[in-house]
Amino acid sequence: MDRKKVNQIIDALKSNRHDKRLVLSFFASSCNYEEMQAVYDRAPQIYRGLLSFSFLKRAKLENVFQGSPMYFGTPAEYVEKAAFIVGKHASIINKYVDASLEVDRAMLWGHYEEARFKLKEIEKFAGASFWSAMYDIKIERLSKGLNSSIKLHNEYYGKSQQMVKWMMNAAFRSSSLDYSDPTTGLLAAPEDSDGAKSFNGVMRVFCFPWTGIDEGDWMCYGFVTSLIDLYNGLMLYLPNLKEESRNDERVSKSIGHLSSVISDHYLQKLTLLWGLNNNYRKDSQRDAVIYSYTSGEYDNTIELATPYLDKHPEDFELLRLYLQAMVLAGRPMPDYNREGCILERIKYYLSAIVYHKGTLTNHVRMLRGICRSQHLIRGMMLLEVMVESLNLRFLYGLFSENWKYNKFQDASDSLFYKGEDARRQYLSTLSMATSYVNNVFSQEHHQLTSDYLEVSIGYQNGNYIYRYFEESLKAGSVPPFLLDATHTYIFDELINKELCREAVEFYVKARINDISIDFIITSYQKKQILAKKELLFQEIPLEMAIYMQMTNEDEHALYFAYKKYLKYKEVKKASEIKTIDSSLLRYFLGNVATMRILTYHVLRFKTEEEVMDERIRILSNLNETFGDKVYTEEISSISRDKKIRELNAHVDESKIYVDIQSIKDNELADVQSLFDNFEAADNQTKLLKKSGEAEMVEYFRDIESNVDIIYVGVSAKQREVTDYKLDVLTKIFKIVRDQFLFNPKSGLDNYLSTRIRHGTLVNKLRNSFEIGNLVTNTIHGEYSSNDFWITKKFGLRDVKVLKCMSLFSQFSTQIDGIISRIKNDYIQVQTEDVRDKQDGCFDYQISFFDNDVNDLLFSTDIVSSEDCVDAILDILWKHTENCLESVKYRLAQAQNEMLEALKQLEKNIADVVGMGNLAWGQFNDAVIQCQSALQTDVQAVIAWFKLSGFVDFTFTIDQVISSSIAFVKDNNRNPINIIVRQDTDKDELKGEYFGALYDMFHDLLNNAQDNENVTKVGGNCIINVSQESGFLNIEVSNPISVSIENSLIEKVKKTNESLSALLTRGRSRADNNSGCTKIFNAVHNHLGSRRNKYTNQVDDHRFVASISIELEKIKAKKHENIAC
Amino acid sequence: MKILLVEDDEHKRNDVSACLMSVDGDMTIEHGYSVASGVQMAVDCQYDLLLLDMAIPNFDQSNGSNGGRPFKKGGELIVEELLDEGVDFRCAVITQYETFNNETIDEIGQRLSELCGDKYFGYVKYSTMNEDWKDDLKKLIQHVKNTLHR
Repeated sequence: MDRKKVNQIIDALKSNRHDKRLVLSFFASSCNYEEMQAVYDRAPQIYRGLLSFSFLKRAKLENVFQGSPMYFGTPAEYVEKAAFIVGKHASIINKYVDASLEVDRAMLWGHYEEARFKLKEIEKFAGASFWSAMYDIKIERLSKGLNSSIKLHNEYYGKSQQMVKWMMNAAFRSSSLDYSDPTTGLLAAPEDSDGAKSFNGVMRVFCFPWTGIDEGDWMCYGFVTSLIDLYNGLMLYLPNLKEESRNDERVSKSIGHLSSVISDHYLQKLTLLWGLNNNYRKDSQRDAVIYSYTSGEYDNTIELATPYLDKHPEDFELLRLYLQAMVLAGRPMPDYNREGCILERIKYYLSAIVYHKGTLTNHVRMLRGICRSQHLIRGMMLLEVMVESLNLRFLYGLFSENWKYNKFQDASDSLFYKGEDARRQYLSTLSMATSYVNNVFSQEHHQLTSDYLEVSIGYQNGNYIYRYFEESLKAGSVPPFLLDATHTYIFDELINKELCREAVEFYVKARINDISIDFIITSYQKKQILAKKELLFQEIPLEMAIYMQMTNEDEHALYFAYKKYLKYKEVKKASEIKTIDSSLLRYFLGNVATMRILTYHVLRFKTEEEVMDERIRILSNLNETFGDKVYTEEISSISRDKKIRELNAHVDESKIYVDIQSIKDNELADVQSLFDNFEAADNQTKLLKKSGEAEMVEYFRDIESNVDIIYVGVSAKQREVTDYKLDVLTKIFKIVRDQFLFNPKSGLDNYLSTRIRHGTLVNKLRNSFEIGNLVTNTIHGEYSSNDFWITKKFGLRDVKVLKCMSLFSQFSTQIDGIISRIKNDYIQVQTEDVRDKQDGCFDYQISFFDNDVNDLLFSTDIVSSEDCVDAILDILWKHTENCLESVKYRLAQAQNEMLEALKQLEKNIADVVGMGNLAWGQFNDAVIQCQSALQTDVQAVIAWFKLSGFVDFTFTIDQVISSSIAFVKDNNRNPINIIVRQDTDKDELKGEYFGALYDMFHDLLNNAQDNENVTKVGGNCIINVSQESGFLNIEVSNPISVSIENSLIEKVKKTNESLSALLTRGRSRADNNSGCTKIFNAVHNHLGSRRNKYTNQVDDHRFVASISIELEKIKAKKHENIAC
Repeated sequence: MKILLVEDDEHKRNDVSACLMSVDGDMTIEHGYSVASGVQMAVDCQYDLLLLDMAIPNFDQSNGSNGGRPFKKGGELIVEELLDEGVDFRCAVITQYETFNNETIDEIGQRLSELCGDKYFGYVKYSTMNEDWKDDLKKLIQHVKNTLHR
């Protein structure tokens, strides 16, 4: 001890000439533990608060990371100073240790109010801390939900220093129990930036301790935190001290002393291991459980552990022993609630691991989420290392880290020591069965405890252990909680001995017997096996194919493995393999010869439908032999997919449609009276004929040629009658034509609008550009900047940014212009009366039909108005075919224009960005993909333009919903998430109603998608379908932005009131292009019943469309169940 | 000379075909549009050269079917399938892409060369931005022709 320094400091404290903060700084930075103690003891009472850093008992959170100076030094120096400060506040810390344990327990049990109350109590006696604030946010999230915790987070965030802000953010973002964010994204700063190491060190220890705690300068931040945070940091840091620091006298002295004044089990256990003191208080109740377990008395273990765990829910090591004892005693898996409180969830997943139910990896992921979310509960770090060790499935390392975080003594603590003697000595101090210690170090006989702890502690000899485990597996005596680790061990050994064939056979056999056996295979081991694959394919082709499937080999490689086995069996298709009662063959057919693999077999299957049929054959064979419903379910699923494909083909083929029957039934009343006039005129002709006035032959001589020209004409009277008839017929023709084209409910333009122009066409043609991020959307009439390419990919700066922005914007304008032209100019109907779409390909001007009308005039086949209407409709359909050719021509032209624009864009961007840009390759790829996809899409659109041929078929409501969803998913880059809830009979519906139902769902989903594209609200679009009193009740809802809710309520109200009128007046676009009129039309006019209903409303931040359809009218009769 | 051109992109197909015809007016060009039709045609008929696009769909497009998943390395799948079936063929690649699932065309070319030996005649990098590829394609065809006459 430097007495002179001590005296100097005391003098300086007493003197008025010295700034006390500087004195404190000197004191903290220059004194060792002993000197600090000496200064403190001799300093006047008034300065003891200052010397013990009492200001760390923070009055409020704002003060954390403020005011006090920092002291940089070695890790050992940090430890001794922190220990000094903590020691000086031993009474507060002891109170905190007890109280925080109560908070932890209340959290585990889900008693959130109690946890919050105790947390506030701690704040009262120990001051503010970020520990407390973080804990508060987590309690809030679990007790009151997301919004409430956001609010609380914001409160803390607003009044914190920057470092604490990050912590609050980390606490909030990790507050959900299914937390799975990669932690590095939450760290304060990039690892390579200046000072980041220190900042991130603080963040790691306090917010993400599982990422590893290393020594470093960050430790010194402890002196500017708070009393509680300083202590917590010290306790997390101590077990992670490097050996050199741990052995430093400064550490041993200060921590040894600290453990004599702080009654914290964690500290006591640690200092016991370090040999610093023996203050550790054994818990006899706990020791009795361990003794019982190691003695193999599992029933007794369960009995003893139950009351203990009721009192100590945070003792996860003992919880594990208890669950293991349950398994070993042959008790059934307890029924824990995975949606319950934190403790229930832990019990659920830990018991699933111990009982080997489900997949280890999944349970580990869930437990990891809980541990990381609730890391402030002190036992969580032990659970975390336990779980991660189990996940490694390494028998020699299952317990290697436990000593760091277990506050109780345990056999695995001996792993802290190196060498047999030290470990033996430590074990002898524990309350364990007497034979245990000898067994640990025995190399020859194997009476291992059920968790094979001896393997790790006693460095058990590999050869013995291998044989032991091999025999144990054969005998089925490996406890379930070690099955994964034991299998992995055997596999490792086989590969190490280069017995690849045996390793593959072992792997496949084990997993065929129990697919949940979760091996760890390293990539090196995989390579070793694949290096011998040709030989293995010859020797064990079936096992190899299965092994490759089980280890997720590349699909194409798996395909060749599948083929190898087919060749071995001398068959051309997997369905030709005789299905025998073999588990290997069953697995191969069930899991290797799948649709994805069969798709590669192009010499056998030429279409996806053929692939589906082959898979169905394979599954039928399997079902015949094994009679498992899994096969019938897959057959149903494939059949369903096939049906959806067929229905989608119907959708594409029924876009050019006119509901002729509806028009005939409802809209042609005027035709009959006109036709009566027509017929009356006809009678007059007959009279004229009878009187001989009908015909007159006129002779003229052509003067120039001197040739007689004979005109066969009609008399003036007859001409008058004929003109009248022509006039009437033309009127009839125009009436029928206009209904055919413009009937708002059933006419061609209505279907062009509903099935092509509204959403469908633009989505289809724009999609290929959107996928490549080559076009952007408009905001307030301007195209948004293409940040994806300009900044994110090309990383452009300065003037190039502006140039590229302009090029991309021009390109978007160009593409949207072309698409808009197709939609608004070409796919439009025009007549001599409707002239606003003069480029419309559907041009039905009456002049086109002059000859046809003339032909009709003299046709002898027309004897009724129905004949007349049918004849006119025939003419209109024929003309429609010409119009369709015109559309196709326009589409092909448009495709060329778009391809040319794309080519030009690529050139222009290359000029600005340069082909040397790192992202140029990606851009080039995007252009090529777009080029190819666009041609495919245009071909698909062209295929829409053909006349619908009616094919009778039936379908179910879920099939039409699936078809509509498929369209939304296929034609939107970021499709909304759609949830379907259906509770109806699986009634088959008549095919004639498919189109109307599809139109309805398509428009509803399209609106939801458009809303999401603009508002980015997130959430799910939900389709509820139920059945009640003979009606199908359909409800489609999607979340809306709160900001538009009120205005939307008004709009919806107005729209609801006006739908019928808008439709009757043919003003379907006056509903703000929402498609509501079209939906109204589909529901009221094309689904068989006038009792159908459709309304929209806004409810609980969601837009809700409700539709009721009378089921009986659209249901197919039993004998109508005709395949599509 | 009889060539099987496997290419699903109509524009590129027309471009490449025109270029091939300009090399030799007597050239016979047949078309495959997918992995499936490419493999089947190469199995059914002997061609002097298979000219393969890399990114092609699995099946031909037909009514109601879009040809299935597009394979970015569809050309390579054709080669591997033909090798597995023991078909004798010569091949070259014509592609517009720079990379294929993080592999460069050189890396894929190297692998095809290892798989096919001297039956692989290299690749041509097609572009809509310039016409250099035409010279490259002509040279490649000439090279194939020379080996045919040996």
